[in-house]
Amino acid sequence: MKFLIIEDDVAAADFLKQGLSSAGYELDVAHDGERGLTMARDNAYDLWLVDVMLPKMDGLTLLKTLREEGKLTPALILSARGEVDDRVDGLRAGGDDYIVKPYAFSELVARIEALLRRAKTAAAGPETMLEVADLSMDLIKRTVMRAGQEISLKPREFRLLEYLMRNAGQVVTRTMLLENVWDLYFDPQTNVVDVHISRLRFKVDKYFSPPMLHTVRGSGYILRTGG
Amino acid sequence: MAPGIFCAPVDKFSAPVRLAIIALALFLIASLFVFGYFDRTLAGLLPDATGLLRQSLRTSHLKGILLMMLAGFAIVFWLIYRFYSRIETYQRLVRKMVASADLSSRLPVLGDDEFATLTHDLNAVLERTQKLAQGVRQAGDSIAHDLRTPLTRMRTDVEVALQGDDPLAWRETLERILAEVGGMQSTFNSLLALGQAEAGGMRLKAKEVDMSRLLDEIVELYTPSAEEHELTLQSDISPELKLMGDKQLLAQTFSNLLDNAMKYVPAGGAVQLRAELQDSGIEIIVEDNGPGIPEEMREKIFERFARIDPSRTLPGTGLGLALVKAFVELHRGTISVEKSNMGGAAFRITLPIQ
Repeated sequence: MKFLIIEDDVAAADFLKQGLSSAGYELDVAHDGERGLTMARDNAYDLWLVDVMLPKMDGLTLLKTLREEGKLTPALILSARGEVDDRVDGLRAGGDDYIVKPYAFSELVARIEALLRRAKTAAAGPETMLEVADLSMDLIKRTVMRAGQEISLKPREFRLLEYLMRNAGQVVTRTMLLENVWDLYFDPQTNVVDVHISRLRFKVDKYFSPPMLHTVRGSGYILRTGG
Repeated sequence: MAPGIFCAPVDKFSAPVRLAIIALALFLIASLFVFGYFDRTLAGLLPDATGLLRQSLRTSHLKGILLMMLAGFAIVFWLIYRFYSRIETYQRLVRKMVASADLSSRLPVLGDDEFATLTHDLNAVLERTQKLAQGVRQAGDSIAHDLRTPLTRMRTDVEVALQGDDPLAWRETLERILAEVGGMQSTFNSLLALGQAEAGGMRLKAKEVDMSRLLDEIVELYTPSAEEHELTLQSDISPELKLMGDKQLLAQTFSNLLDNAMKYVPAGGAVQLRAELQDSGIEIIVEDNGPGIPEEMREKIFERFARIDPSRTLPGTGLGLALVKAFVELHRGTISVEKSNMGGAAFRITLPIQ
């Protein structure tokens, strides 16, 4: 997997490169928009990480240009701003996800993995069934089964489990859950998400084994096969 | 300071005198024309008049014109002088304000003309500027106040860790610092949002928001949390409540209020959210049977870092209610807190529909 980092802050780019290399990815770096555009055109990458404020050409113009040329590489926008409008502008310009600086590195990695996975499954067409080990979800009938037994979920719990199953084996953060399951783009001061997760865990894991829904300390949650 | 605005040398009398001279010259030219016309008419009417009669008629006419000229000049000069002396008064006041960096004084509104309207507008600008400056200063104070504490803790933590050589202790220190940084980050983000909202700098891209649905969803989001805290969370939300606003900011507003209820209402308590349409807009009341807010604190709690518990034992940035107020006001709404019939605090928010 090879990513392109387009970030003018040399220290921030180095930090990203170092962090992501140790997570097992290969990285190229461009320090301005024009160089980034050339590199993105000339090479095949699995992901672009694009800063918004860039010299020579800003990140949003760069993304728009590449999208107009028909390039479909997933793009994660890194922005110092964080208003909702900026997010909307970013996604409209062709970004696939948006993360506000300063971010936790674990949050960045979780979002990258979710994007890569989404790119892979999108190519396979829409799914009607999700399966993780003995847990299965019928997206049309809106039913969930584990080990042959039906689990009854409230609509929001269904959406929560759907998101976790779509990202099975990967860490999802609280912020990602709030954004994707509740469509909320701020972090509440109390642990609202944790409580929803523990309810879901009760339904999914309590009467079955092994447990599937795990807490990853300091980052978020992961749904995976086995302990 | 912009020199063009405040420091341009303006000679007190040069402009009015200049104008008066122009007015005088125009008047003189006009008079000469009138005089010439009179003279020709006279010659036409009295072709046989003797030189003496003509001369005396001419003289008296000239006197009349001179007198009129003087009177006209006096009036023009008086008007111009009055105008410029008002400008000069304002100039003096504005210069004084700039020199003393005092934004609290206002220009006196004199008379009832365009000038008075302009003065009004200038005063409105001053009002706004003063508010902005206050906001900036308060934000500065708040940052110093609430970010210094975690910085001090982190510094001590690092210094202690560096004295030892236990990698396990280092790791624990790093984890604590990471948590502190997270807390500082969320304080910082809140301050930023607050500054933007209060200064009116936040672009409120108003779209139609289904308030009934939004409130239902927020209540649904908090219901498990409330049960965890052994609280009952009830809601009574009229259907079809819609307004023009920013969905995320409104969601955050009510999320902050419920966060507060979760923190301050003791186990076994009850929290209620009601929303209905009133003449003034959508009225939303969030109330509980918790300890309530003492009367003398009811204005204060919307200020930055205002906490009822002086020990600050409960988590939070201390900015939640300040943000609530700022977001409500950004939607041109109002918020107040009173004693609830349930026994605790009742936050009453009114949001206009448009």
